[in-house]
Amino acid sequence: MRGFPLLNLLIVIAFFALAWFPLQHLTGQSESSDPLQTQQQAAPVQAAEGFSFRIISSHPLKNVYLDYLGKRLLTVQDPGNEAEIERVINGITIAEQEIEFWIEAELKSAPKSGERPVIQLEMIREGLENRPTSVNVWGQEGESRIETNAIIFRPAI
Amino acid sequence: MPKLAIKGSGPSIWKALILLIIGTGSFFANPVSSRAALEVATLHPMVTDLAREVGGKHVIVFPLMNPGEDIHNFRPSSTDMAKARSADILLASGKGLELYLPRLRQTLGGSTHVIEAGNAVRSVKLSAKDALFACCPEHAAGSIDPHWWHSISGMKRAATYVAREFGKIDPSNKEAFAYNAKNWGKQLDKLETWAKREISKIPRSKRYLVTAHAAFGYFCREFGFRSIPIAGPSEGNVSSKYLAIAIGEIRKNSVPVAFPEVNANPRALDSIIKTVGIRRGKALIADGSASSASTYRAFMEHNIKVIVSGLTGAP
Ligand SMILES: [Zn+2]
Repeated sequence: MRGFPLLNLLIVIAFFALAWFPLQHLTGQSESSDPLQTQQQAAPVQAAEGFSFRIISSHPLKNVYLDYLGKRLLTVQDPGNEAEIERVINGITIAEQEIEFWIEAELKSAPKSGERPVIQLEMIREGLENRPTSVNVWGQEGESRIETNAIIFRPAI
Repeated sequence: MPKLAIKGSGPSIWKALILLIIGTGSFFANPVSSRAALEVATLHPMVTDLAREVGGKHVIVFPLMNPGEDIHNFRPSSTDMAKARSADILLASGKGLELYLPRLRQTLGGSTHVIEAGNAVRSVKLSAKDALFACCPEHAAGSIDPHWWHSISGMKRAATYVAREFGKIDPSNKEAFAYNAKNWGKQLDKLETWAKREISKIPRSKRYLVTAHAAFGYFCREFGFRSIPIAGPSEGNVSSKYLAIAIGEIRKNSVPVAFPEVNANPRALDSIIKTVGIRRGKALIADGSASSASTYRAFMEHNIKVIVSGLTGAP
């Protein structure tokens, strides 16, 4: 060993090189999988800040409430004779394409038997008023309360 | 006088005798008409509750399986067989859950009517082609998910169906069974409204259910989830290839939590939790059998609360 200091040095360098390469390779792999996840989270979803809701009911409404992810988004009580209720919502980000709202509404009076009340919920993004996305939610025959989820599929913009 | 009296009552005695013979005959031919209540033996805790709700005071329910028992490994004992034979009705969950049912049916002969409550519910097929990532494609493709009680609307349909079948066997209480089913249906509607409202707190893009075995196909269809089970419908051996796919799905969709199950072996799920580094949620009642929830309502409320708190991070 003593007679070959250069060989010793070469062996040590080779050892470090071998140990370093797979480590670097592994780290590279985990780094390359991270961007995939970030991409998944940030992906095709459009945040909608500043949008309005239009609510059209088949029967006069006494009140209507709208929740998004468990939080109240809209409260309308005694809208009078408004045929269409339109409210602007600001400061809330809805970063999904498939959006589920929870809607609770009470009609002024129970519909006639055989009549099913229906409420149309339209979601309008600021600047894209010509492209509303909407859903119809149906109540039960003769019942004045409507409580249901309303799912809106917003096309990618 | 006595002689005259006997003579006079002669035809009545004959009539009474004839009626007695007819009555005795019908006693042997149709045991139901002679009993105050239908005797119903049940094969799953959730159908036990269903039988009680639909039957009300007109049935006596004998659960052959107690809440907490393992539904996939349950086999009726000789005592259970005897109870089933003496009952008017054997109420099974159906959809292939009770693998022993065809043989049990043979031993019952014609004296006990067998009803499979799950027949009323539209099946979810375990298939990789479905929108649901329902199960290990290698082990369960093409088979039917038997865990139908995860669908509240399905339970409502099952109640209507069971009421109709009870009514065929005991026509004198047909209206009462229909009334009970309708009444329970209204309660199930309220439960469904509550469940949907709770579930609406979870963004639709985050509705992934990582569970110990493939039991949530009906739940996923009803509430807009995608299922990532770690094992097949009856927790058989899982291939490493399938586990790799499951891990890939969990990572790709940034699923934050995995749910263990009451009565299920947590080993495979725990290794996934460790590998992926996600949270361990509270235990779900996947098989509808837990000593802490013997009613359908308690069972559904438990699962909904656990899922909503697990996926929203709420306490
Ligand atoms: Zn199961």
